[in-house]
Amino acid sequence: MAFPQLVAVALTLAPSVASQAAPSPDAYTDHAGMRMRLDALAAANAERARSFELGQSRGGRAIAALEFGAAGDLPLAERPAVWLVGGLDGVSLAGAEAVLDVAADLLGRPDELPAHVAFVAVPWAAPDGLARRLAGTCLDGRNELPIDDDGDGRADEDGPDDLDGDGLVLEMLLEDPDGAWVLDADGRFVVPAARGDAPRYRRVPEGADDDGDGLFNEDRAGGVRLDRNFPVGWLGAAVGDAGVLPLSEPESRSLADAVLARRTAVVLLFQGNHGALATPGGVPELLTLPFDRDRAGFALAGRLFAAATGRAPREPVTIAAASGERRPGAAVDWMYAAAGALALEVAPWGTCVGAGSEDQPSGSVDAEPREAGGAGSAAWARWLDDRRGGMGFVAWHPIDLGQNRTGLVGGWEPFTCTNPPVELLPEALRGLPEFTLALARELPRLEVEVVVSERIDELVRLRARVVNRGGLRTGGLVPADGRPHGVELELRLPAGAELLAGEPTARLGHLAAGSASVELEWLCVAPRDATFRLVARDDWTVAVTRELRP
Amino acid sequence: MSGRLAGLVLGVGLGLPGAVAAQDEAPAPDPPAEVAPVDEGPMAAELRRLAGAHADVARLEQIGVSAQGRPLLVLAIGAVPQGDARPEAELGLRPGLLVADAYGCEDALGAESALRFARHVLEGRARDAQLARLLSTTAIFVAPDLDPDRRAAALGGQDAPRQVAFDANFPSGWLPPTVVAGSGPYPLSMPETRAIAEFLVAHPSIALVHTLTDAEDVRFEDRDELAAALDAQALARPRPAGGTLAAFCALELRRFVSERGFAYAPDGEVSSEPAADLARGYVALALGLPGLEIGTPSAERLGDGLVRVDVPLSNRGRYATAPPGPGGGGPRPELGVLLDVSGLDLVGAAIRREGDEVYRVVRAERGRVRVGSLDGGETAWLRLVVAGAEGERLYLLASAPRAGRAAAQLGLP
Repeated sequence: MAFPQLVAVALTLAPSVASQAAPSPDAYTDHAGMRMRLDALAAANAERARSFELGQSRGGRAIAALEFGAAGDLPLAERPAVWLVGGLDGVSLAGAEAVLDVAADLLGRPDELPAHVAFVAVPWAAPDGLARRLAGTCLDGRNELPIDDDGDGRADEDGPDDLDGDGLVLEMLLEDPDGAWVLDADGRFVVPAARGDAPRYRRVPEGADDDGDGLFNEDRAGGVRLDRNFPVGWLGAAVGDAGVLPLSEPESRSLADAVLARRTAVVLLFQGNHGALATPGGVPELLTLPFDRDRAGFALAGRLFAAATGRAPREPVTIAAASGERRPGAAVDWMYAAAGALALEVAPWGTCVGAGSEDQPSGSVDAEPREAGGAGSAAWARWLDDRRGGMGFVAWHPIDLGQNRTGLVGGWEPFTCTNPPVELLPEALRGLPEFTLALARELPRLEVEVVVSERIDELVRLRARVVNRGGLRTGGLVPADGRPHGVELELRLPAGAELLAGEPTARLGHLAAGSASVELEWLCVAPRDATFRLVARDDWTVAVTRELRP
Repeated sequence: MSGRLAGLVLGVGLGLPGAVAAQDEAPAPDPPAEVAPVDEGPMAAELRRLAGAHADVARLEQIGVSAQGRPLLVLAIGAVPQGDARPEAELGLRPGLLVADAYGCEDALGAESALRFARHVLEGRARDAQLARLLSTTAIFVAPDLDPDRRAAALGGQDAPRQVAFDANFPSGWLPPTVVAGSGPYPLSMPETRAIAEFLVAHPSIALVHTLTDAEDVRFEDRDELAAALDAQALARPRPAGGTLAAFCALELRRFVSERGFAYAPDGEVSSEPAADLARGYVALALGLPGLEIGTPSAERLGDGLVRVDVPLSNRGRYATAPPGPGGGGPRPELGVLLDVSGLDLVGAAIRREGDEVYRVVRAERGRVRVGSLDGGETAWLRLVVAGAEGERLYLLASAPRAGRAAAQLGLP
């Protein structure tokens, strides 16, 4: 609830031109438009695509999805799957656009789609948060689960307001000797306070004390941030926006269940404003990710990303390093460590987008805040000044909060830092379809090599191994208890044959790109001219069969 | 458990993976109170016998069904007034103890001790006034077989390795199966773990959870030390291993927790402690449960219309009314004691804790005073200023999620 009377007495010193320069959000696809685009893609590619719903959000919005792949006999549901998940953080509208763009682009070149791979696109994985972000009514990506954040028996009664009447809900600084933040030297960006710094501030969204409890915006609308609601490092219900339990939300649960239900090989989460490709590793003090066995695969992904997008080649860093903050409960960690997928966060937007190569730092990614204004905002300051002429940031200006209190209102405008201005959106999306396609082509490809195939009368001796001809290792989990896992090789005997020695089916572990398994050997008796079949399969490949007639 | 968690559960349900139908689907009907499966085994049969033999104070609840269809049973024990239409509601307002087997293996000692505990309180209440009082002031829940499939397989001599282990499948500190064997694809992915989690969330009054696990044993030379040791362990707020039921209870649900894991060595040899000793230890735990008591209020008229009321408020238990966080973290405010004042307008309130020399003003909103947590055995004195005429009555109700309720009233002078 806004307080118009406060606006009338606000000591507004901010330049108003900034808000006038804000790009219209209309160019971003809204929820209805997204569904129409998915349905249109499915209709135009009926042989290769199908639209469906994963479920519904807390707010009743459909979680729309599109599965597609090269035409072929193998049903999409049975193929190794590459998931394209947009905006699960509830704020990355550019991530949602990226998924739509990748799906449309790949369906536009069906002959280039890798055979036997299914793509599953979920452009709006957090429909409530994205819808409210687009409308400017809620900026932190929560879904619409009502939560009594301040424990006063009421839910969502003290949310943000446009106090200064500029049409924007931005950020507010409240002076507090115990505050953790100060303004930096140029007076725009908020940085962590050091010993002796003053004045200090607490950061809250712009808004009045709607419920009169002396606190500001402490009980905002909603909800749960879905990218904090996954199990790895989940913070607990006391945090509020992490959910009452891991996967407690219909959005996160339906996505997790769907990923587990398929042969999921790759999950690409399109979100963030670090502009890079980031690996699992949101809570390094709890769990060191990624595992060493996957470093080569992630490095390959990094090279493909750089080549496709033109962004500076970098060794991928963890999501915590890329985003400059811990990421407890992040989906990418669970998708990788529990669901067994090669999971990556792809940030369409960042200061590196559209910059010349000389402006792109090499080496590690800049630690940028997800909501700029915190530590590490130097790159965004340069971006603002050098490439936007300072437009896009509302200078901090005082506002009367009543009861002899004042605050400072200001901060980044919408469609600047978290999502790109609409005219830069094409640049932010550039190369992402090519990257997705290139990565899918690197999925493992199995080949059965017969080393020995000999017969002495009815006695047959076979020896074979499996080779991975793909660019990524073979897939699936490596369980901690050491149970057999990885590629499976099965000997199928012809009619009338008997196995004398050797295991009919064996697990061979994971095969790195280009590597071969140990050799397996069998002794059989079989009629002459009988045909043996060796079948190799893996979580990330379709089964391959090698026939031989020793 | 936080008040927020409780509120959400009331409002929207747990929303556990696979547990709750999609929003637009009708909710699944509650499981029947009792289901008799074909192969429920001797443990369930003994629980049924106890519930039948002591129907005046014991009821058997089925909280779910195992993956293989066996019932998940909890024996609820507590004396409620004759004619109480909803005994479960009455028990839900009392501080509670849950003794739960999280091990579920061929080692029957834990489960046996839980059963003996149930028998001890049920059969001993007629001759032991302390037990009788315990049953009238607390709620005791015994769940000796939360993983009946594993127990059945073990007792049947079957080698039935399972990919998910009960006591690695809880949320707090959960790690994926690539790191911790048997943790499952996500926390509470098993129907067994989900069932006890839902039960605990639905029973915020359970203050103390004793889990029977394979936690490392600790030696005790004297078996008489056992009960005191269990008690001390609960008070120490241990930090259980991640992914366990104990961790979920301690870290997320904020209950006091103790774990079995004691072996005394009277002859110098470490041995498994007899179930009867453990059962006596559980009684000691139950006797220490927090419980609110309001003393006799006194009133003195201050002038026209205003009356000062002083009233002592105590925690009769050994455990605090709100468990502190593991490692010394403070208790959550929503778990603290509330004093609701009705019948008259509350004008002001102050509190004097043990060690305070003066009363300190506290905030009173809409007739409610937030007292905070009371340590074990602590008494706080509340000073209320109310507006009322002579003869009007003042009603006081103290409550805390883990410590039950206490009421008092008086007529104004």
